[in-house]
Amino acid sequence: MQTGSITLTIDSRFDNVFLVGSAVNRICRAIALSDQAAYEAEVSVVEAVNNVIEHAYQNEMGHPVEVVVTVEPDRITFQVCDWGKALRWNGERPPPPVVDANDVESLSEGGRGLFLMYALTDHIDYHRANGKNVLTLVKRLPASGPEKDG
Amino acid sequence: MELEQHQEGNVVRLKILEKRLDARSADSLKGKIAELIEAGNNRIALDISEVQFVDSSGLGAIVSALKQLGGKGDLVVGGARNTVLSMFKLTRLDRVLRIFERPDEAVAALAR
Repeated sequence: MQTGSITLTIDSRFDNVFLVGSAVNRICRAIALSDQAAYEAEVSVVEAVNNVIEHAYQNEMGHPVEVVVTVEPDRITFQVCDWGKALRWNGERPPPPVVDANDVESLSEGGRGLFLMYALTDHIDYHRANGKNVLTLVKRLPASGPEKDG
Repeated sequence: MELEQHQEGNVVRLKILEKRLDARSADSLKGKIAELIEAGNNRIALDISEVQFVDSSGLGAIVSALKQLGGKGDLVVGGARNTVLSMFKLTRLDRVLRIFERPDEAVAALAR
């Protein structure tokens, strides 16, 4: 299969996030991921980018959000980069949302983004260096058969 | 957000005409549903058959609508495609929200 890397950059505005999401979905389908897997990759990246806009840049436009997409034989990696405030990150996988059918009032309106990112990817990591924050999301690709010569 | 609204008996069918229910559009949906509830509509069938993408903000808007109704009415969803439906299941919202395959079924469920 083909491998390679592309960097997508948008301004920190919610109305630009679909550009990154749509590109990620299309790239995933181009490497033969299923519609469901491509959708899951899109959601996880969109959640990460939304987080950057809301938390790292505090809903302020005019800042870059960069997504580096790298396709390797066994995985696709998304590095979501910003130069804003660092996130509080403890590396712990959030538990599944508590949903009590008899108590709608207790449902939370927010807080599902991080859960989705963890649930929809195979590996997730966050680090900050020299003022740059990088959230890395990895989705493994289904094993394909050995490539035939010629 | 572009929406289409039809009164069908005592049910409001609210169709989302946009492809994405996300951080950009969620507040607008929340506002529209709040408006409907304030005007006395408490049976709302949300037709999401045109929606191709929903994220946690979109799910949050639907949760907000459910909470606004506060048990004094009902909101159901119809027409979710498989990828969109998978987000409701993953976040377990399918436990509190009735989700129908076809929008007409969602309307019919409330019309009784």
